Amino acid sequence: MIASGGRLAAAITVAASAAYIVVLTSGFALVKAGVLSTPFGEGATAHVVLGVLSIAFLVVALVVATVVVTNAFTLVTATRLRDIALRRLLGASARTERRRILREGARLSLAASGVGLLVGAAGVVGLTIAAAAHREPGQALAITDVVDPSIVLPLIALQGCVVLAAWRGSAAVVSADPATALGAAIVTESGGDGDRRIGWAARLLLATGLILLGLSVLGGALTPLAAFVGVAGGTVLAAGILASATGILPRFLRLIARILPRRGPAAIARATLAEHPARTARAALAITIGVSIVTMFAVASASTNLSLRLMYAGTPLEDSATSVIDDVLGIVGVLVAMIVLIAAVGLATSVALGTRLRGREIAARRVLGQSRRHAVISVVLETVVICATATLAGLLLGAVLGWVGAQSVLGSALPWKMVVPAIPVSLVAVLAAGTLLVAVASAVMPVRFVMTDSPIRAFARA
Amino acid sequence: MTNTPPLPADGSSTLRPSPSVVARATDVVRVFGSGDTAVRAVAGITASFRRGEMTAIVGPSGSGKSTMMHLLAGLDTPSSGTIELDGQLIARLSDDHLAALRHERMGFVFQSFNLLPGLTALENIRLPESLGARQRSRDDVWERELIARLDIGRVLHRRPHELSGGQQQRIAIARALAHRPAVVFADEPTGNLDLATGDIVLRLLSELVVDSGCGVILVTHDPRAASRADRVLALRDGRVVAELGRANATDISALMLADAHDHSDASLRTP
Repeated sequence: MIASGGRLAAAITVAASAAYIVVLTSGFALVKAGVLSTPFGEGATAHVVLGVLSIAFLVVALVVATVVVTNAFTLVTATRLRDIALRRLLGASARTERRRILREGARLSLAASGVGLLVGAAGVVGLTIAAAAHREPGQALAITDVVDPSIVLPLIALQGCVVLAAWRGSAAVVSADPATALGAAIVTESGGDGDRRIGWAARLLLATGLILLGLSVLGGALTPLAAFVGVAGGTVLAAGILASATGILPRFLRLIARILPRRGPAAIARATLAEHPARTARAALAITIGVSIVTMFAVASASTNLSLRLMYAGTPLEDSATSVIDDVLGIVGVLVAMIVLIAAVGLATSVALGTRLRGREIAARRVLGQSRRHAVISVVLETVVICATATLAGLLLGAVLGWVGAQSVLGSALPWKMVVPAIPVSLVAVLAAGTLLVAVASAVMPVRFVMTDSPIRAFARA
Repeated sequence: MTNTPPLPADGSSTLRPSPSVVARATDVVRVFGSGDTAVRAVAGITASFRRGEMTAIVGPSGSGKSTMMHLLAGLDTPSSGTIELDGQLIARLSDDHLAALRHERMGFVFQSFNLLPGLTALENIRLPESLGARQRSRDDVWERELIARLDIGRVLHRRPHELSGGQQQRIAIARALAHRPAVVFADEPTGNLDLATGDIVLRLLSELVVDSGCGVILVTHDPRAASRADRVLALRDGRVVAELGRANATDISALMLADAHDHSDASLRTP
């Protein structure tokens, strides 16, 4: 059931990403067509801004999709480890087993992309009708305004990302010991010590990303083309963060976990948090990405809005400028919602995986005398700390990236060459509430497991 | 027992058990499923287990030995019959009471060790202290003695995956005995160990039993492991079919084999 859940999560993610790509390219094509008919159409800035935005959104979606699909395939692989071990025992090589998962990933990716394409197309038709109704008569909407042939490229990139994700997610196959199929040995997780170190490649990515972002902030004062440097920097930084998440997030977690008392169920929560850095980081990563994206765009648009309003204040262009921005923000809102949806799917799979792997431990602690209530308290505390840490990390990262983005695109257009950073207060409140909600929701499954299962049944199944 | 007696909250018993008995099962039956598919995993067992004694429950798979252990440990509830542990009737205890009882009066040693992978050996030994509703106080002298006798002093700050199976199981034994429980349940403790290591582990366990005065209930299908016990109960189809004192592995396996033949013949005759 969990394995098919993992496949379903992967399929939903790929379909949503494909639909997202369609909506994104067509949406931006529409906005471009709209912008050209305004006084901003002559300026190079508007083109660059839109180009950069659409590329940034593509990159973000591909990164998120890769992370989520990797998680999903990790889950699928974990649940099949025994089957795989049996086939290995009967003579299958680890390579064939991994290829089998890769083929499955590719098939799933193609099928889900097809579905996503249809859903996205339906969305675009709706969008076009809405846009046409919005237009003044006489301004016909050409088909080339809506359909952009370059859409093929991101769709191909998506397939590549899914195959990559399937490959990384199936890494556990290599560790499937044929002996586990004999039933005597127990499938255990390897110790996570190796995961805690941050590799030099990740360090290099982080440093390069930060340097590029710094350059784009400075360059933003000169030309909007600095935004391309910014996107590159953001992508490299994101790759660095993904590569080092199992090293960085646990450190952050340990810091936050210090607020937990050292006794009772909180002590157990502390111990389990420190115990599986890779697993915890995976669960936190989905939230961190979701929160940082929301924050990034909220901060970017708030900062842009504030700066433009300050710049055009009192001129007749004030309304026109903000209306273009509102158009863009409308589409951005839809896109962000889709990314958050994908990230939520990722969180759900991480939690399912965690519960499955944790079931045995929870059962062991219950047998050793932990009461139900305490088991529930420690599970809930664990999830709350993970969610709070992930949200905080996402907020910080997103705020910085958002401001850098706005600065690199708009800095040069402003008389004072610097975008004024603005953080919407309501955002922080919404995110705090959202985090709490997510924490509670993701604790539901483990808690139900604790409440309904006798420790012995849990042992038998785990 | 005309009325249901109120539950003794302080652990004192209305049953006045003999002080040497730590666990007693009386006419215990456990049925899984219902109707035609009902399986009597335990079909009426009466047995008692004494302090300072290691009792092996042996039998082939499906004989009901694991179910019996779960029932004795309060991890499962009998369909009928009573179970008394350290002077308390456990059938009617709530889940929380049972958890507290496991926490304070029982120790567990598992086939797959079940040490938490992220904790060091010493942290694993001390883990149960913080599990219960009440923080358990630590007996430092006893802990040091356990560590010395189990010869795990040098590995206390390593994590389980850096330890051999035998070392992991010795850590698990220290965890099970640290709070001086009344009963230790050992579920196939040698199942994942080689013969020599398994032998050492069982010898240590049986020595510590005598010295700490707790009772050990050893569930196994390995005659060699059972030969380390002071007493052997052979189970078949949910019933005790034989009881031996200290016996060697050959006798125990002969008993298990002979019993299998007798019994399959008998079951063929019954409709």
